[in-house]
Amino acid sequence: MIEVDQITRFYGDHLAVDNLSFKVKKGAVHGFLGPNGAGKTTTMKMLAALLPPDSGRVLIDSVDVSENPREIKKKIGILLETPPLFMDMEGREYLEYVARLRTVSKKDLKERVDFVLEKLGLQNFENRLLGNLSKGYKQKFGVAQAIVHNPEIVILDEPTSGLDPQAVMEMRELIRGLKDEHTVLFSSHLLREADLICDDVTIIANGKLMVSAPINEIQNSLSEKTVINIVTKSLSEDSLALLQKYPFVENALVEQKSDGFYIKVLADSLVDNREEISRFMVEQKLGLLEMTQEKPDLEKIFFEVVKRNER
Amino acid sequence: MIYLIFKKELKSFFKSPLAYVLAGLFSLVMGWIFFNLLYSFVENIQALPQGPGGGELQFVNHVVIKLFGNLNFLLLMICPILTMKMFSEEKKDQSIDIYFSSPITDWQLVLGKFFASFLMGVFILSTTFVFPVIAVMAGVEDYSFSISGYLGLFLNLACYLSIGLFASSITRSQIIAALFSFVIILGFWLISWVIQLSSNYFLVEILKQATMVSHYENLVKGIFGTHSLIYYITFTGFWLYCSKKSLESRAW
Repeated sequence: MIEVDQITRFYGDHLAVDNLSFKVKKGAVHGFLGPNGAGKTTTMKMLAALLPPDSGRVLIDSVDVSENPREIKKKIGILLETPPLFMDMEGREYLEYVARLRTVSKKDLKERVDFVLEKLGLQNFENRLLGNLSKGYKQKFGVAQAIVHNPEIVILDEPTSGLDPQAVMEMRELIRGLKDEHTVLFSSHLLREADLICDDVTIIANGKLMVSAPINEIQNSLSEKTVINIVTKSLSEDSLALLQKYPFVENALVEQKSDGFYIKVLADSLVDNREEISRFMVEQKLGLLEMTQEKPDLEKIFFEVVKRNER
Repeated sequence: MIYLIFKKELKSFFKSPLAYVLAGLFSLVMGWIFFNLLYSFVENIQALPQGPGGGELQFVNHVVIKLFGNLNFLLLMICPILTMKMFSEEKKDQSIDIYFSSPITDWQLVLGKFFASFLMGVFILSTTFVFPVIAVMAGVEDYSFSISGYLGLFLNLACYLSIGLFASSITRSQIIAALFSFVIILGFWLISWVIQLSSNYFLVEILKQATMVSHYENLVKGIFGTHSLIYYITFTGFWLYCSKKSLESRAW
């Protein structure tokens, strides 16, 4: 089990992680979500003993990471955003080298590398130079190095980033498959991804914890809410302020595009409020072009918690 | 772990054409220099003043010392090339994270790379091992100068490489790493030129101990003192320590 206990980390004057606490259950796939620059990578580095926190502590199986980082590193496999590959090495050669660095014995080496190559479907690439592989396969070798020493915990930082749709699907399948043998913490800014893969999620923004809970619990807590998507020709700040004063409006996010203003309203009610909103739009002469209502998915939850933090 | 990293680096070096291009160019230039030194020695042997050591001493003065001077100068060019990618390339493509996420110490990483680069340097220098053999075959009986000369050369190699490793550890650019190490090594050479310009005895003595050039000159002349050995070990150790500190800065 991973326990993150009030960790804070600065880069110079910039506060990257702010008093963050959450727990990752043993054997779970835990999604670590947040917008770009939220502090996900910094947190993951602190979990893997790559970076010490300025304050607070990370406990893995009740052992403080900063007290014995070398022992902790044997228990963790990490893939940061860029797969750490030696481009002049062949696939098997690379995995054997990494496994030896991570104290896999010579006796178990072949068996372990064979297992990982098979698990990730990389048998046909074991004699290929890593520098000549496609991005998808490089990413797979990135995951392979993270699990080659059979760690208890696997940390993956945006593992599907930059992959083509086929490779994304394969990677998601792979992460789900890791659950049998490892505790997986993986970060993403694609929330639908977490929805598909994770048991629990932690959402952070600006280095602060927004929410950390089982994914179905979060969805249930927000099941009483609806999202109304509105498109108008014009929008003034006054009109937006008035809209936000409606009692059922929890939050409203505006994006200006070439063909109008796209407004997302998170409504704290299951009642259909579209009639009231459309009347308001007409009164304000905003030029209502479109309006739809939907149940919130994880994307909306994310939008809601992040905006709540900004207010 | 040191041996593991050492082996990986050597394998990578010998896989790349750089190893053979460097060794080829080095042996070509040094062969040409050795040939010219020998030719000029044979041409002028009659005109050279005959001292107490006879022709052999003249050979040492006019061929061996000059040859080792040139070898040392070429090392100044080659060492930054050998070390420039050691850390900078891995920092750039982030493959260095493999080491940081493994249960190894920064010392193991630095020493693994240092020993590997040292052996690369020895490989390149090995193309010149034929010169003393030629000299012995030509009738030169005292080859102790060659042994102490090569000892000095290897110790200088260790110094230059440790500087090169440090330069590579502070940047992601191989070119900047090479230039930076070249400038630092050159800086130590410049000290020896300052010595020649100064008349202050204490300053000269201090500077003499600070630069590897004067220690190397002594070794090439067959003068070996423990203070030189301590100097080389301290110097190399200092720059390796700086490399380790530079790697640690990732946590700052």
